[in-house]
Amino acid sequence: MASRRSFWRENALTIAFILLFVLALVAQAWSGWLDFNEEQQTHHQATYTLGRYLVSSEFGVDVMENWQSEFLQFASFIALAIWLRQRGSTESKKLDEPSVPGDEDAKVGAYAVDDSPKWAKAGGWRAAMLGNSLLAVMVFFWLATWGTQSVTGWRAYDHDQQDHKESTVSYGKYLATPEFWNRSMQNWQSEFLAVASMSVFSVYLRQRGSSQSKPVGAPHLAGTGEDSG
Amino acid sequence: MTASERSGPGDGRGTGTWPLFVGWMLLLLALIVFYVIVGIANG
Repeated sequence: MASRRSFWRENALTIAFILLFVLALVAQAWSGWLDFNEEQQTHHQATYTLGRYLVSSEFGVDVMENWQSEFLQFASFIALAIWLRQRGSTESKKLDEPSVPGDEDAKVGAYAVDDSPKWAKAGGWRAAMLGNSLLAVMVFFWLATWGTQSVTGWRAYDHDQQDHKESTVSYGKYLATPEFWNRSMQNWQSEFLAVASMSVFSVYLRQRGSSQSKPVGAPHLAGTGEDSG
Repeated sequence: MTASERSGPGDGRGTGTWPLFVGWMLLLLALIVFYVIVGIANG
């Protein structure tokens, strides 16, 4: 019982968001299925069962276009935050911090501490791999989900073309359609808006108790751990 | 003794955190591969 309680205590943030993700995905599947069938009936096309809809390119592209933009958001945020700063933001390093810290500040190789991960202690290529793993995994998931969006989007586009008795297109041609780019860009713009908002809102606004906020009394133009400079 | 005490502070795993990390990543990968197959199979 004690270990079950500490499992929740130690991982509550991740578990809560996974549960919210599952609930929202189920709700998307249900509402997306009803919406899809309404469209089909309007155009006098065959409707899908829920099971058929879940294994359709139409559902796949709707899920993947949103996933890819989330991974792009984090990948771009992680990468740009290496070099760019926002004074006073919880999302930024301090103005005078180096863009890429040396081994001592990064606690790698000879500067590793007792609890450092093994690959940080090892230094060399292993420390370099670990030291870029967060960005690498986010970029990987972004490209994988964007690629999946493109394949499922292509099939869904062709189904639409067939329903309207129009000619289908090759995968390469689909990548040049306004449909593919509209799906991509409408998601990208909202992600960049969210990061810009968080970056500058966190300078002047606070949420007492949240890890995403500075202490209420911290000076506006001081980043986390920075003095009023 | 709890799992986190057994694993100790040095391995960075915490109580069930490593399975949560790996499990979540595998779930995402599985869903991505599944919809690649759906697309290729023209589902």
